[in-house]
Amino acid sequence: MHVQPRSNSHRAAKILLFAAIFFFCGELALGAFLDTAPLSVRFPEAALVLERARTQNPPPDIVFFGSSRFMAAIAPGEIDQQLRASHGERIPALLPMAVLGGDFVSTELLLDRMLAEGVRPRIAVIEVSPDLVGRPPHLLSAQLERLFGWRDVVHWLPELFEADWSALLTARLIPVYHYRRELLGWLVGRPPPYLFVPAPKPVAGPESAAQVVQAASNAQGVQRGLPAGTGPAGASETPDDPTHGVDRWARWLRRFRLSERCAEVLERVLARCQKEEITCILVEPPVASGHRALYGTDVVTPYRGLLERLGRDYGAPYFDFGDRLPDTSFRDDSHVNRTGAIRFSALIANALIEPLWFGGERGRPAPTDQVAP
Amino acid sequence: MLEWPAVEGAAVLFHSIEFLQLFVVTFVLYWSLKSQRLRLGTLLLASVYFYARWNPWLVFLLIFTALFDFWIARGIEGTQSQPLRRALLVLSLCVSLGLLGFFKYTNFLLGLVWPVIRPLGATSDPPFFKLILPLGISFYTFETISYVVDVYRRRIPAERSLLNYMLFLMFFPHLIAGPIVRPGDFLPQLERLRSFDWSRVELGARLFLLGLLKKAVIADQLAQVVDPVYAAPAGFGSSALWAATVAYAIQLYCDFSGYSDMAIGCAHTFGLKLPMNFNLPYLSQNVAEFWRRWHISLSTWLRDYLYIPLGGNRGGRLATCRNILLTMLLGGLWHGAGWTFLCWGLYHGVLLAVHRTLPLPRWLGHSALVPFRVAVTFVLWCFGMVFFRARSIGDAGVVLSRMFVPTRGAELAPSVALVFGAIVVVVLLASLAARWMDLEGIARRAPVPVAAGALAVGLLLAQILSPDAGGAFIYFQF
Repeated sequence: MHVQPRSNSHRAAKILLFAAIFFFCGELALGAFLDTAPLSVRFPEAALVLERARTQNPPPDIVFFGSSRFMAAIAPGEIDQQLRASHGERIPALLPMAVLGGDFVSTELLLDRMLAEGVRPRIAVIEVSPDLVGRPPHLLSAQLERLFGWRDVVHWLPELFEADWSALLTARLIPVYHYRRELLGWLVGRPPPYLFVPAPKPVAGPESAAQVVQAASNAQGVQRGLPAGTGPAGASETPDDPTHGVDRWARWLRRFRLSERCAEVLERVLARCQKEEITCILVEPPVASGHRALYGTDVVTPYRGLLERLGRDYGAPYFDFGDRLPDTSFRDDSHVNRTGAIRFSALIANALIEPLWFGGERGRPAPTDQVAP
Repeated sequence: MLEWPAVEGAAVLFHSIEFLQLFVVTFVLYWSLKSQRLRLGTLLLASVYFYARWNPWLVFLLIFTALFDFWIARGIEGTQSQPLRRALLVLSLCVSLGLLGFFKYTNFLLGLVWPVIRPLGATSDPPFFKLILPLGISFYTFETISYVVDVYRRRIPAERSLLNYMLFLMFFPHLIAGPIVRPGDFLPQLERLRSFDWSRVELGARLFLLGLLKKAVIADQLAQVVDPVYAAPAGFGSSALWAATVAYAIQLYCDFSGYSDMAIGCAHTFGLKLPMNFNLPYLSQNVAEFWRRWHISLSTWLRDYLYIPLGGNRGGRLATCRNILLTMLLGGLWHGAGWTFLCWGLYHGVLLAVHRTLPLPRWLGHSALVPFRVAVTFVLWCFGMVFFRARSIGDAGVVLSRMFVPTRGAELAPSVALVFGAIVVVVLLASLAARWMDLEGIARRAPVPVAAGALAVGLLLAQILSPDAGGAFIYFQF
């Protein structure tokens, strides 16, 4: 295309001005459209979890809210097996509702939507840890990506700026670019790439459809918005390393401050559960010794203080399983491996659910220190 | 394995937020300054930053090249002694081509000569260097050669201002992948202070957007078809290989012409004009016309500084064919140090020589056969693309044999073929529209809201259709 510049500068200025206005109006309109879109567009994982909650038969009696740590650590099959061994078929129905990058903000959303759809468990186990209440909340960028509208952004603005201001700017000011994958997936019915060509079949045997889908997902980088290190155990083929990730957490925990807004969200979750007569249990999942060593008194004192107050006000007992597994049970510093998942699930079954569900006095589980890992 | 230089980052891509930030800061600074020297200094600083973001050490190589040839040209102009002038020219060519050769061809040459010297007592493996190819070295080397040669031929005076000369070489829009700028076209533009002109900014924005659409929406999408097929061609069937080859032809055009459009558009916003690099090459009716429309700045450079000095078409049919073959062979080698590029250059040399030597039958020139001629030219180009894209001569052989002999293997899924077909149709229609319609006139006559709306929609489309991970421009590797 070979063109000469035109002489009409005034007209060109008007074109550029109008183009900029149209462009940003388009961005904001599509951004607003995305904010009101079904949950499956921006947060398909949550939509799937809710779908499971709605369709599970029998409906869940106990749900587990949390992050990838809970995703890795809660093995419902193992818990079922433990309970069946003692109580036969009369065991509660479990539903893991932990999501990647899950925190109290995503928990509140899942809880609200679940209740709105008429699913009412009797017990909600909620993951807590100092890592979920510090400032800036390290998973806030993930919630910005998946959940936040303009009102939330205004509410969380200081923390969002502290956490990742560039993600904030792109997600809000050029949402068409930021959410192009989600928008296309919504419009077309499946997410890109649309020109994906799998590698030819190896001689050894045909590539399964799951492998193809997995390869496509890997190529797309589906875990956008999540900080490094967020992910379930077994997500990669690298060998277990319980020290992996400690450095990153050490930097984050160096000047630990409680995030008041995070505490408020957790409080709202507990209040809602209390109102709906759902027993809430706060559970700190196990972490490797290197990670635990980062929790000095400057971290533990305000954190425990918060949990004690919430436990008092909302009757939500707190269970610290942080040091219950040896380092050999970890894939990285904060995600358990398969062995760790089995051990932790056994712990949960015996120390938590057993006394809660089958014990004489509901809501009073056995102290955790009675159960050996 | 020896490695040098070690520090390497990611190049700043035109279609990245980082480039947008650099551009906005440079643009605002540039136009807010009242002195031409300060403006050019701003552009030079931005260009140095642009290059240093990729590799801070290799900026010094670029600066050395600029300083060296700046002083050589001054020396050539300053002396009347023809032998001295010639010696200075040879020295400049040796240094420029020596640097290019060292970084680009050392390992290739080692691989070539090693089998010869191995019997003389060399160790079993050649001592390959792990050299980083300086971005844009092929482009800026040709620019600096053309400058020194033009001064030597007294076509242009030697530049008095080092700042101007450095900017000629380092101006960031064309630094990494052209267009290859001629000093006679560019340096005079730096002489006078320009006033801000919205129409040039608007033109620049339009060209940039066009390039962005070509790159992000077409080239990067098609890469998803091309890359896996050419990574393991033996596993794919004939139709997949045909599709991937056609896809690569379109990808390469959209990638490179998209880059050129963005570079030209970007330069316009600073009031500077870069030469056109592509003119709808895929609508060419023969290979000679094709090369007048494809990578024009390189074709004309090869013509003026290689083909004509070799004798051009002045020495009879045989000498002309020899010159064409040599020029295209070196043109192929310019793209990369490898047998595939040599074959690609040779293939096009043969095509051009045949085209020049054997006149087509008159009936084939009938206007009704224009689509046929265009199709044949495109298919011939696609065969060349196999060498250009394949990782080795062996792979190229596999691709070509499977293209010509129907072979079973993995094929594109129907949905992929459908999307690919749609892209081909869009590119074809856009090319035809650009050829047959006065798009510039339409844009000029369109009401302001319509023209503005088209820009905004184009930008929104470019965003939404960009793949998750856009790749670097293909020509960065050359």
